[in-house]
Amino acid sequence: MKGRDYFKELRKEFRTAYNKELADTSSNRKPIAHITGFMPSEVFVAMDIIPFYPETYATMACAFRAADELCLAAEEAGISRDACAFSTVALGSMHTGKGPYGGVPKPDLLLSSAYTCGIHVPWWEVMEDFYKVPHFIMDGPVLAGAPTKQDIAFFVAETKKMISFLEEQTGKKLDMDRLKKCVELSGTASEYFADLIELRKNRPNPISTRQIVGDMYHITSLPGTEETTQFYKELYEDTLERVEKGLGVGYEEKFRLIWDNIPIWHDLDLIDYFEKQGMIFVYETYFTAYWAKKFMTDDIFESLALKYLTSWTNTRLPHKIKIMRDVVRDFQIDGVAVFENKGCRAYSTGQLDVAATLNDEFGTPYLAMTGNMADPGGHDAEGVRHKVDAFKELLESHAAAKTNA
Amino acid sequence: MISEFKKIYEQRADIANEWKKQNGKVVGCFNAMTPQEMIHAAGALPVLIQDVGMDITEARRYLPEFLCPTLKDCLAQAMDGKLSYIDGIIMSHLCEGMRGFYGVWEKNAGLSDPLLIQVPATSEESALTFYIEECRKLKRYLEELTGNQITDEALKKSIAIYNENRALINKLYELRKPSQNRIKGSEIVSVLNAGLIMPKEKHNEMLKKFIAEKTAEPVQETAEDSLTFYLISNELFEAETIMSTIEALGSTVVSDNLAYGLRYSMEPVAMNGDPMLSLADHYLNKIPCPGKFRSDVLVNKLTDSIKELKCNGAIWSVEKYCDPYIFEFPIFQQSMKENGIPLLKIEAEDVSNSGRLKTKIEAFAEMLS
Amino acid sequence: MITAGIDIGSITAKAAVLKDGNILGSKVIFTGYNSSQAGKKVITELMDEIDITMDDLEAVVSTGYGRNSVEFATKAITEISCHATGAHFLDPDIRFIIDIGGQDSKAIRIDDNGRVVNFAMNDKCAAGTGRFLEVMARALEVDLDEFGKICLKSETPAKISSICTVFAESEVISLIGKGETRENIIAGIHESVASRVAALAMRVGVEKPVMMTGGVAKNIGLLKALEDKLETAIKASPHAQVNGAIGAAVLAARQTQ
Repeated sequence: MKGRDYFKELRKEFRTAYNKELADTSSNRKPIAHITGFMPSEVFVAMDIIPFYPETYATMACAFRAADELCLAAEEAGISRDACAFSTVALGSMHTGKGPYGGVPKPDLLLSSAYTCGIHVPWWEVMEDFYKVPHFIMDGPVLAGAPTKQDIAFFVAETKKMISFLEEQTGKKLDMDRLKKCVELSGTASEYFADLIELRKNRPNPISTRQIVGDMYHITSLPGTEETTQFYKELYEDTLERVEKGLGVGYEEKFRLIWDNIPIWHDLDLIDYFEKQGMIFVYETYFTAYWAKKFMTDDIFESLALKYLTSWTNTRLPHKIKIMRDVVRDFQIDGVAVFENKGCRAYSTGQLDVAATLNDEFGTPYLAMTGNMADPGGHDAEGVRHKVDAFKELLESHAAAKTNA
Repeated sequence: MISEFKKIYEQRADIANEWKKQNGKVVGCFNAMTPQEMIHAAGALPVLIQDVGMDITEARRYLPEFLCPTLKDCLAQAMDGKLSYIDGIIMSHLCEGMRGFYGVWEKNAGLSDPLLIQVPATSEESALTFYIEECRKLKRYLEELTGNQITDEALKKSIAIYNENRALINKLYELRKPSQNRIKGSEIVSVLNAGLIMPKEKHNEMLKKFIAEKTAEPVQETAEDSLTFYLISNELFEAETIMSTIEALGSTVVSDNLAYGLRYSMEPVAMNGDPMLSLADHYLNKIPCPGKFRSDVLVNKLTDSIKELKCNGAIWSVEKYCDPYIFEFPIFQQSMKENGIPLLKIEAEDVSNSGRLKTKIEAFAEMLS
Repeated sequence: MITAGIDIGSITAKAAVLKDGNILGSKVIFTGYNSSQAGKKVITELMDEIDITMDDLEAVVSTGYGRNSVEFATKAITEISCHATGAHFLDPDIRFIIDIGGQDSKAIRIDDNGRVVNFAMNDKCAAGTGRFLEVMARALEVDLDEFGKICLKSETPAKISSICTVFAESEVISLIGKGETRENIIAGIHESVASRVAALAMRVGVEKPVMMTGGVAKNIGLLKALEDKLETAIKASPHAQVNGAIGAAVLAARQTQ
């Protein structure tokens, strides 16, 4: 078994190399493109363009305790703190040049997408107004159900349009064989990640949410590389070994919970607060419905469409409920932590319906907490923990009632 | 005549029920980006569902606090049985609030399942192809709901009626310009409101009469210290409050970007060619809605209008939690700064608080005079 | 067996002492800035009144925001469980509790054993809490005890739309300026709090009969407004303010069993 520190070290190496590349000022440096989550970044890897994610940067700013100051700076520049908190953090850094790793790097290109989150386009337009560099909008469908032929065709047409834009801007042709290789690597990495999530059906849960939150850095930043795929292969194998040895996350597993929504990046300690009291997170809608999935078909463009269109925020309520029913059964769920995230309206609207349905059908209790994924301003850490205490008592009382019955 | 328009809006449920008895189905829409001409061509009455200031207690049960008040209010109306006359519903996906709201509505509104229409963010070929397909989906939905075929001929006729309405609204805005000053901004809001829920033919008739009356009136003299403002607002009833407050001070709001006003009516739908394609192209390209339009183009358009009208200042009042506007604001603010146009930002909390609102506007006016 | 419950809230500290299922006494004092001292003070004063000593107490359960600062407590339990237990102890038929405290409100559904089935708490925001009513009563110069009664005289409550307490306060002042009647303004304030709390209750799923606890339960105007919104009768806890402390004392007795 390689253990947690081994992966932590790999992550550190990866991050250092990635940020070193971003900071490269030499004449033959790679171009930097600021792109949104859910854009086919495999294309960028295949074209030697560094994809930079302002969203991921915002999570890092939270870890570096810089988010509050950056949100304030954004507010001063006219961006309300009611906006997506990833945007306020990243735009705050854009305006001030402050933040971890010397602030958000200056982009050569801006590319936004419209299908998974409608905030991206107007947010990127604010960046366009500031940086004055070319901005490509990748359109796509907001799904009404499972992706239709029409949806996939739209996504594929847009991906090809994006490729033309990149070819035009860089003056380099995309090597289709290389893209194919990247997509295949990416598919394999996501499959390992999906299988890893499956392992969490075991009791005790072999890998903690905190660890996965860190371990998703490779796949969210640079899918489609050998290094990333190798990382998830090793992580999967290590976790499998933990299952075989019956190892848990280090705390007693009294209750098994779902975390619904994006993590609270500036208060990840909250996860530990739950887990120290025996409430272990074994499933998150965040990981599974985005990166951890199997999407490969014979056609690479179709594969990309399936990967990037079927994200959780692009999934309609009835389908979410269907997925969650299976999760409650398969992962033996005792409770749901519903994080009503002020930082993301799209994710948060409808959450209560999912939780209430599970409560009706399975009697699964849920805890509703409000906060913001990346803006620590006004965060009521103590109040939230107070609710967690009460939730634990609720879970205990449910368990007692079950035993008596 | 304003009181007539007002009365019609207040009696929207009666009008809809009357329509059902005489003509057929009523179809609710959530925003201006819904090709209402198609509903009209199917022989149904399109009605816009807007914020009406409901008690939103029960809607709060399902929706997060940080969702826009309009959507909460709409759900509250449905749950309260206030929209029971609606037979079909179309939701055009315009903003992130809508994305999750669609499912919550479907589950809890107690009305027939809505049709979700995707509005692409761009307007080039692939987007247009996709959107035409969405319009076809809408066509099938409406035909099934009403039992009527939407023929090209019917669609052309409906487009003509809507185009007439657009032209009349343009005239209204002309009469509002400082050189004419025959219609107040707050009056226009009442006229628009009525148009959102009544048959367009009748609205056209009323508009013609109203415009004739107003044109016959002499040009109004304005006080020397009167100021002119441009209002950016996305809620009709909030806009009315703000405009009335400004008018009470002897100043005027000479134009605005209200979703259902000039913005919607700026250009007519092309009458030549396949009417469905013309409609799709029009809704995708010709309506500068911040939810789907490029911010820089939008801001430039707004800036040009403000300059052309020689407004003394711009007033920005946008509903809380409205993302498209949240991101447009910094770009607009920058443009106002560069063009030396004074800007007042009114927060959502101000509109519900007449004292605060008045103080803010008065102070802004004092600053300018 | 004698046990005690201590409930340290943001404004007041409450204590209750129980002997073999009977309430020996209860006490409410202001918390002040030192919640640890408040806990000690309220129990000492109560024990003096009912003439017992620390040694007589077999177990002490602390609850409320300051529950972890009560050093002499046998166990700390959240006020969700304590209110549930307290309400069940006072009336075993109760299935739903609405507790409006100084800085938060809670809705709690319980089963026939008094066990919590589901609950919700409001978020850090004064709207929908006792503090909101307090601020408004002060702005309108009305005695808090009279505040709720006055709204019963209103026919058309004024609409208060601000979410924020500070803004709502200035909204109220502008309503006064507009000449709105005092009764209607006060009724509007109660409507606004009731709307928030009722939404919280609906999230949990209201089951009858409903009991209201916390100091605000004495406010008849709010009780009526909540009854209207939830379309059910609501019983005010006979020991509204010390309901949580009583529940804590009951749980303390169970601890020793």
